[in-house]
Amino acid sequence: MKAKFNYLFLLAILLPLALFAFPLWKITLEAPQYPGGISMYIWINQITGDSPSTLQNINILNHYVGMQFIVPDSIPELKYFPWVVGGMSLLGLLFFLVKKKSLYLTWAMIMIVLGGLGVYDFYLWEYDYGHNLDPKAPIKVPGMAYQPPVIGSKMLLNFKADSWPTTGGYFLGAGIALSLLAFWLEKKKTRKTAVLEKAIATVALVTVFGLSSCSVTPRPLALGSDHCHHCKMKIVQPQYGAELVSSTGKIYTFDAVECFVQYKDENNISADKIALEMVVPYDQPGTLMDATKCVFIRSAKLPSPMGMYITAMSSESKIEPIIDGYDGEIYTWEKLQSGIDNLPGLTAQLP
Amino acid sequence: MNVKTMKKQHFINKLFALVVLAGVVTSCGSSENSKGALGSDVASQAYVTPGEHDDFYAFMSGGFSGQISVYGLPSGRLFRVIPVFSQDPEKGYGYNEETKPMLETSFGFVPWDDAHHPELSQTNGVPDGRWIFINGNNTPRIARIDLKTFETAEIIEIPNSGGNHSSPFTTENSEYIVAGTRFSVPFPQKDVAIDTYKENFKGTLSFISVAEDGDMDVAFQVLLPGYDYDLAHAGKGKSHGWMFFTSYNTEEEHTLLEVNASQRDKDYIAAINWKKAEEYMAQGKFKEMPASYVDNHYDESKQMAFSETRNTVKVLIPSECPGLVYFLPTPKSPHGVDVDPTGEFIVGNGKLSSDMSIHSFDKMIKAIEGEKFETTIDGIPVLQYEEVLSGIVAQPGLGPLHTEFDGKGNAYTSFFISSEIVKWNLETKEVLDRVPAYYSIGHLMIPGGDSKKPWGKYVVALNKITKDRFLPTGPELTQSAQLYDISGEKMKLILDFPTIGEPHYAQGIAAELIAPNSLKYYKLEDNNHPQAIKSPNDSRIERDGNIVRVYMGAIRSHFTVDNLEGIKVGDKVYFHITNLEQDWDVPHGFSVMGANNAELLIMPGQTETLLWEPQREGVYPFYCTDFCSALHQEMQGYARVSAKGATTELKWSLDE
Repeated sequence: MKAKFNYLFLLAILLPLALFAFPLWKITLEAPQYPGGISMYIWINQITGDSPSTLQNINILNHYVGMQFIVPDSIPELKYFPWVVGGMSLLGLLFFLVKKKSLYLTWAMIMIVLGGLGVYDFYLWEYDYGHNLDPKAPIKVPGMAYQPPVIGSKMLLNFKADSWPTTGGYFLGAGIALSLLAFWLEKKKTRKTAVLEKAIATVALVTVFGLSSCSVTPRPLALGSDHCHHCKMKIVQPQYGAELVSSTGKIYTFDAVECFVQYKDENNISADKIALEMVVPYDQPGTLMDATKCVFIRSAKLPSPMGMYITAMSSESKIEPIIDGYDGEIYTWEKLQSGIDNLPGLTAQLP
Repeated sequence: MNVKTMKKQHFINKLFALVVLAGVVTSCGSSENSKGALGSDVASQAYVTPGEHDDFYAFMSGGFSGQISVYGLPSGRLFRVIPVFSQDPEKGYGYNEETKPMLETSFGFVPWDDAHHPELSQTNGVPDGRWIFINGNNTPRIARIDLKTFETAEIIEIPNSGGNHSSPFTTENSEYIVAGTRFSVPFPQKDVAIDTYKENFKGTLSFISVAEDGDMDVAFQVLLPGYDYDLAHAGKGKSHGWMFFTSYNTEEEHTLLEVNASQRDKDYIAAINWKKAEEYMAQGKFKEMPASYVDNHYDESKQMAFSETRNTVKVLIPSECPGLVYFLPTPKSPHGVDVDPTGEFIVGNGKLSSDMSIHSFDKMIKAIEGEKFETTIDGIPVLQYEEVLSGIVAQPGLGPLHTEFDGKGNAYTSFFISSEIVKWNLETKEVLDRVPAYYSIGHLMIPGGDSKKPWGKYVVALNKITKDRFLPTGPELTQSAQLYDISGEKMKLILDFPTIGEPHYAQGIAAELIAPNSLKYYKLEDNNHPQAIKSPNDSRIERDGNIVRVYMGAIRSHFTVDNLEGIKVGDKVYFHITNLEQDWDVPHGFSVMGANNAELLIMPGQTETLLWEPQREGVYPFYCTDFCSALHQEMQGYARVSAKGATTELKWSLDE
């Protein structure tokens, strides 16, 4: 049986034509007073927005920091990119008709080089917009540039700029990938089964890599900006706080150990969903430590943020230097959690 | 302690327990009465989480403020005050050149009115969210507000009317809204002795047609005896085609009405067969009478209002049009007349009566067919009371005013004197529940509660008096609305909130019928204002005699020209300002020192005009009044004023 991978190549070279129907790239600016964000779409021949006035609105915002107006008519790339894309599809068609398999690779390589140049060109434009600022700008932040990322997210003053390929870009990428695949499959036609196995293995590898990229490492508490997931108050005391890292890497911050325990309890969070349980030991302000390695004391001299007088210490030996003659109970993490509802009452003894 | 003292002690304990219990009971009772037992569970029913939206819009009349205020339910949060009949310096309404014509009448510029009854337009008997109408009571007018822009789109004056109170109630598809006169006046108006009331005074009931695009017109008037026509409601379903008006002062008195107009046992509900009226109109059976009234339109494309004067009105005389009008006797000065969602029950709220009379539409039709007439007045048959009565609600409370419906077979009536809402069953006429209102409730409102399909979840009490309900603010206190949950068997007070002016009547509608259509900004390309500019480059000043026109744009964060010279004392300077923004929620304001009117508040894509007549030489600042951006404070400019006859040249510039 002879598989016809040349039609795969035909599909590959046609996919970039989707760029005439869909935008290539999307930059979204998000700020509190712009619910839903403002999105700008970059096509091979135009720049558009969510509404006809988006570009004007972005230009108005940009002028405060002295950025130039984005005027699509003054960007020459938008005039010749359509010819490049159309030309490449034509060239691909030619290669397809010539029926020489190595040309598949050639086409893919040209596309990759052109794509790379395109991204570099995009970067240059962004650099120019971000750095070439009007010296008379009303708002000048020393050292600040407003270059959006080529790909990814970045904070630009009050705006979070997100820049990602969008529909047309995906078609383009898929076209290049397919042409490579067509080349590879043609080459290995005789060893089809092995190829299939390899393909499956690749997919599996990518999936595993993708999943493991959700990291389960703790993140330091940001005082004054992180909120307690339980009581919703801001976390402000460096000697207190806690953090739960879920098995998928999600972070839940708390202003006090008691909030942490109550949150777990009220939301019935089972052990398999928890990767890490961290608390701030009183003797090491601002750092997070594994809760199971800490000890917990209750002293009327140390009121904790939510009023239950629970204080974590990195070890038993740290209690004495902080409270002379502590004679209360010392709880382990486990004991504290099971007994939190029945802790004896305490009244503040402030110095 | 011996047995006897123990017994005594036991008795004292018991007594003490009883006293405590009584205390608890009475304190519960009093808190139920005055605070409505606002437990946290109750409060949460009216709580809308910050950032979340309400389920309903409530449009409340501003009463003597002349405006409409827009609230959310169940939160009671105020969103907007729509200027309608009163000048509003905050929005420049009635002050800027574009909206001044909206307040024109046959008496000239009337910058205030008393707005009573908002009424949503309907399709198939259900509010559709296209427009809301409201009556101007004092100088008879009806306004139509466009619910896409939340702006007043049209105000039409009602001729031959002496107080437009029974208005602007709608028919099932807003074919007509009505305008019955509260005060009868000489017809046509003329100089006569007031004590000739009985010969000379007449009442008119006007039917205002509403076209597909909303345009209102006085289609015809029905001429009735000189009673006071108080309120109205259209039939629905099977009674579609009929309109019912209450009347008082069928005594036709003209002085000390509080006594003299309260003498008869029964007044009338006038039932008008408007389908029949259409036939008579088509047959040409109307009289064309001279009249003078004004129709003002706001043209959204030109962004300005235009006034047109009309000189005639078509009048139908009942004695010449048999079958057009019938009177239904109804006890003691009925105030509201309310038709239930099925169209069968016509509730006459006899405000001085101890019982409420509920008429049956089916019985009314039978009585008409069987000619069960008591008498005839000016050619209008008076139907026999017993022949049209469905039943009475016996002694439900004191001073019934208005009734709304929940669509589940129940009616809710407001009682002004006993200050309460009473829920009763339409079929059995049995009282089911009562709940106090604080204080002196007038209208009440269930969203869609006067339509065929009420959203029977809440009822809002619209109260005239608040006394101790809120923090005091000197002699003048706020009026208020109160929200009750009516989803259960018992009504439950869940919220009190203050209102703008007098919340006379209100309308409620599901938010999803309006919110998705709400306009975000005007498109600059559709702006056909003759003095609009579409680009900053079109900014300029032109002089024609002593008329100076400044064509100026506003865009974050500057006016497109900000140094103006060549204006002279004695000039009439028109600032035509176009907001060049094309984004949501970026209005710009404009004010200039010494202007004798108000500010402009210009929405994106809109052009507005302020007239400034500078009186003294000097250089005067102007600035943006709406906090538009981070550099709003820098959005300013100067206008130089030279002496009369000076040779200063016209000059305008920006950043030169």
